[in-house]
Amino acid sequence: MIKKVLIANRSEIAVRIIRAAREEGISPVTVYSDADKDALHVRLADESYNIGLPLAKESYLNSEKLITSALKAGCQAIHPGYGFLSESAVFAKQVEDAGLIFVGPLHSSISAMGDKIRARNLMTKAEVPVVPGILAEIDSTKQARKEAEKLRYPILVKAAGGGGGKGIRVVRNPDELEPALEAAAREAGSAFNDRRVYIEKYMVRPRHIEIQVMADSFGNTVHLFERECSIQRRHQKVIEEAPALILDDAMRAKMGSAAVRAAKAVNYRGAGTVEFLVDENRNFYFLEMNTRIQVEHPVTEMITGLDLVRLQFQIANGAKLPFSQEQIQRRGHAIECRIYAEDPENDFLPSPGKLHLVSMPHIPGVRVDSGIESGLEVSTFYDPILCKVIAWGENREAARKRMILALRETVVLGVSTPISLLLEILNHQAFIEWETHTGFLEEHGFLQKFRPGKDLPPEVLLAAAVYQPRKSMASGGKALSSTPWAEIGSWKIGG
Amino acid sequence: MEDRRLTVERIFKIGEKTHTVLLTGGVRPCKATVDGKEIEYDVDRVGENELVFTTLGKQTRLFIAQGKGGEAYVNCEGRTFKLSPIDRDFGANGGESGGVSSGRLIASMPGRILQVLSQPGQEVQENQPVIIMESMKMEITLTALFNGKVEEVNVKVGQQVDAGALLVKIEPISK
Repeated sequence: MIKKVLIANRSEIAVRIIRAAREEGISPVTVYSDADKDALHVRLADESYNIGLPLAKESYLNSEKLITSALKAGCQAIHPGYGFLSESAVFAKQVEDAGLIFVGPLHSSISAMGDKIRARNLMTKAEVPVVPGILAEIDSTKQARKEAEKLRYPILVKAAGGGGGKGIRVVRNPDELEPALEAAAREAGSAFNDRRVYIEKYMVRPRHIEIQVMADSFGNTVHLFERECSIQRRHQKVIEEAPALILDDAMRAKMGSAAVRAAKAVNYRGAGTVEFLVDENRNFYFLEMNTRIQVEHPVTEMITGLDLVRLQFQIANGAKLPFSQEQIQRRGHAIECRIYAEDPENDFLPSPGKLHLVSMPHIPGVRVDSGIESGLEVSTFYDPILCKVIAWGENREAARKRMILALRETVVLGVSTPISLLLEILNHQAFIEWETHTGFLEEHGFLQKFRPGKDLPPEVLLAAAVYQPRKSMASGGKALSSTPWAEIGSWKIGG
Repeated sequence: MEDRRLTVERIFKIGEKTHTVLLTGGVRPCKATVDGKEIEYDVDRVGENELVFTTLGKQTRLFIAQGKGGEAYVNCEGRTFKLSPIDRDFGANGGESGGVSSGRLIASMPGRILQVLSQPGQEVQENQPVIIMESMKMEITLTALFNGKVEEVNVKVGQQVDAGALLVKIEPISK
């Protein structure tokens, strides 16, 4: 029986897990590095432990500190969130060895899917179609050349040791092959400590469609429909939605059962996502499986009415899935926009700084998963995610309009965000007509020196000209009354 | 006392471009020239960071926050702008003063004087509060930006002032 859980993560997902834990009657414990001492996830937990220096390696990636904190707090479980150590089979095993429950799959399932070459082989055995390519690692440039010619260019060189867009290179002709192999191996080596690469056919303008799966420890495995995540930049997702309009119910059922087969092939438990690429002829191919809860899980929650993180806790507690495949229904359409502290006008470089003002939309049908508040300092030590804004509508067009409304009311002052860019994408004709594919941003010029162009409302300049903060800046806060007590004035307790 | 009204010029850079705002004072509706174009406007302040402008009958809601270096962050319907001030004339809240300060404290918005904390002839320190006024429902403390001697105090408690009104003039005391 899990009574206390240590959340080995930070920012919006840690906040999300805190809430789900509380709803399940589990006391949430969090950890924070020195850079996060004022963070929301620290203040919302029942207890929070300092894990030292900000560098991720020293803090949120330090399994020893995480497990020690969990044991010190008397937790029965650790929830890894997404990113950080959530897909580390080594960490999952260490957690189990320490006598704790890892809220996620078995470490063996994580390793099976973590090795992309091994995963492709398992899928082929389970009769899940995979992206055409080789089923072994590249051992020489000569072999690579031979295989590439068989597949025909363009091809993709990919890292075997991990995903997330790292260690990938497109090769359009034989001359590019050798440098691509080297570059991908180098990147893979530094990202995953594993230089192995393999090659796949490069699909032109595919749609990225992933299936959410959920499995209990009794072998019951279901799918919770799909998400379309085709709007991406350098393989990082920008906008996600559910369902994917390209699928009809027949194809949805086929992909769903393929995803279930994939999960069963690795004895999966918990929440996971099977990613597919869908080509122009509506053939689907297994890409990889993410053995964790994903950033974009809210769109699935919005169309199914289910709480995936609570289900994670229930499954970790040994419960059976509370529903069968037939009982899972979907309704309407949901879109999610990720708000990062990055500057689209400056090649999307992280934009650290102090958040002078944060104001989130409060609109029916709009959900905000946020880790930020006014006054927070955004650092460069971690993924600069600020919040996610999700809009639900009775159909895609209603969700799209609601998302635009929500973004117009999302205020984040002090760092750069892609909100202006997101609004332009949402208003773009190709997006309205769901002509979405992984080359979308490039094709429509959103990546080339994005300028939120056109007119500057004169009110913006007027506002800056007339605005004076309550205490004039020159005083630097050392105003007449330098303590809150002086501001309140004199008062007496009682009579 | 005379009402010596000045035109307040504020210059901002957004990205690579420079923009100029001239606040030309006047009773409400206020007048301004933005990048050469004349605008009549009314403005209301809601809390610390929200402004509601009314121009040509249309209402625009904006959020604004000021950074440590005087830069302004403005959100207008989902679009965010960062404005870096380049002041030639003194705004009442200082901001960035590159060059010689004129020592003139000016009201950049219409308001009412609540307290006058200095007199002509008085020596004041940098950051010392000099005037407290109420502007757009908020209390604003104006302070001396350098060590100096008060040369003129042009307002009295309770007085209504327009945008551009000269409130206090301070002569710097050279160190």
